[in-house]
Amino acid sequence: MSGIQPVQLGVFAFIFVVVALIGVAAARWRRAESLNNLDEWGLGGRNFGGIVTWFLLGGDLYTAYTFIAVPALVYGQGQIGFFTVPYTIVLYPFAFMVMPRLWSVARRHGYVTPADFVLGRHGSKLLALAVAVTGIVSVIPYVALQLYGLRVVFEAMGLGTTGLGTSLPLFLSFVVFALYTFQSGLRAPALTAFLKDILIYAVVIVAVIYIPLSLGGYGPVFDSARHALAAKPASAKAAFITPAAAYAPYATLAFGSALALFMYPHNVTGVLAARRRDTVRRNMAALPAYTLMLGFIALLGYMAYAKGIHVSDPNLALPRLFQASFPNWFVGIAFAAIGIGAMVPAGIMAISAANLFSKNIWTTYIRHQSSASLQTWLARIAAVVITGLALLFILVIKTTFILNFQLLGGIWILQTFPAIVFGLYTRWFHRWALLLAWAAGIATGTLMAVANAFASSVYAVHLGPLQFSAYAGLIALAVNVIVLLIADPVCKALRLPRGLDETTAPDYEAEIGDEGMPAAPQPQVAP
Amino acid sequence: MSSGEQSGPGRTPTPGSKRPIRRIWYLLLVLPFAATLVPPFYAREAPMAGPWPFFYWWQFAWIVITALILAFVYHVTTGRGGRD
Repeated sequence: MSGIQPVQLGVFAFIFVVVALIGVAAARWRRAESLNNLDEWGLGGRNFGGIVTWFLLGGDLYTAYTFIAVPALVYGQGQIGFFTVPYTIVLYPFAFMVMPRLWSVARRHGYVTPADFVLGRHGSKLLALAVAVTGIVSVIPYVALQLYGLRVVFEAMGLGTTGLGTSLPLFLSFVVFALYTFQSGLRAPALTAFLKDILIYAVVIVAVIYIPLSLGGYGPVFDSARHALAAKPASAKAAFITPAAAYAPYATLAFGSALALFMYPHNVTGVLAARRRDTVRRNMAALPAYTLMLGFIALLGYMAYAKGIHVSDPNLALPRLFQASFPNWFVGIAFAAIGIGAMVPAGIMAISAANLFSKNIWTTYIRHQSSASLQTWLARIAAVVITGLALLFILVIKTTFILNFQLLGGIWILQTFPAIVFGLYTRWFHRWALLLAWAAGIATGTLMAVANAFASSVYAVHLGPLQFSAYAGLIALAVNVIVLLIADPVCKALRLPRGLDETTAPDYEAEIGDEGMPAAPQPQVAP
Repeated sequence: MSSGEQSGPGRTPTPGSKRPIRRIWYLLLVLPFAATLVPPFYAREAPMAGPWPFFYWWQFAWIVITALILAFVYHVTTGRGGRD
């Protein structure tokens, strides 16, 4: 399977370019008077209905990297890769309760980013800065990971792993990404998310029906995986069914990842762009459809065993499985689906990080009197710079380092949980205690990752009689919360000044049409 | 909890709503956590469902059950005009 695959490459390039052009043209979709304010450029006019939001959030949560990495983990280590199933199961009941509150308060006060909310609620510029910087730093490796997913696909199509063969197509993809976010803002990924998901669904449905049929059903799929995983050396930590030692890592990875996901700025962006509170609630109830798809994508890792795929880099398991199972033109479509699956979330991520920079760093700290138009121009440029940094990352730095940095990003972003989620329910906690707790969580999480030499997100705790292994992000969050509970009464006893809270209790349950909210969805201009 | 929030069973109808909104149903949302975050319970081969080991079919089944629970909870906690 070496050498350039012209048919696959041709179909891939054709679909990729067509979708990118649609993205650039998306600026005209539901056109606003002007794109020169962050509500329009950065949140698509805050007017996406149920269906667009469903695709946008789906495009956000399930990325190109998901399609490569989940089957890769399942292929490489078996059961542990399935933690992604409980992760994306418990994600939605959690988000169903919490995210409508964030939508309501953000709509009431015009917040664009999670840091805007933290500033408004806790009245602490420093805490808002901490949340903004954590968001930006965690999102850049996430964008890089999307480019990495693209690179795996290029590699599978025979473009090589080093030199001009990969750097040129990656650079071209970057130009396309940058152009489309700069031009259209959130409208571009929102419009192309439709096409991405239709392609992905088509490919996955064909794959999970056709491949097992061609292999003789799910029996041989599970059997071959059971044997292949049992044959691996103990050092590979592979298993077909979760062993007792992996119970805690399995459960904490699922739970911690679920708590972390909606702390990422790009997912907040997806929520805040919805038209109504009810749109958010309905979506959280409808999004588990994607979890079913994810479960089957994970099983593709086992299908690779049944198909007799042997790769030293597990990331190639899925591309090689497709190439061994389908005609070239269909492989091209499948790879294009992954390619667009990189473009959509990378766009949303860059936009959300750019919003954070423009509003919460530039306007708060550098020039308070920035006009809406200046803020938007800054955000547009920041989006290009952030995507550029991600490209630099992938071209210059070793792959393992990017994966590690992404791992660390997940641990870091989880440390903003108390400031955001506790803040949505109570302002009991003192702003300085929240800041100190955030710092403690970041420090603990980073130290654990360093102690693991970045090789694993699971950390083995030895505290006297207490010995267990768990997801480092969740352990760091526990430290975070303990520090918060200790520091809070201390801050209050010292009578440190409380910040001003500009929100009120009804703000968190407000819907369009309530007092102080826009009367009804804004009129749309036909495209 | 924010002070403006009414909760608990038997909450009176929201003005203009077609039926009382029963917030007690939100408790159902605990079930997916209990069912999928305790691997010692389901990390086993038997009972199989056809070729599917228990570990796999149990988690897949809970994807569907969670979707149904969420749809149900959304329905019983949403009044007229999408008000919750």
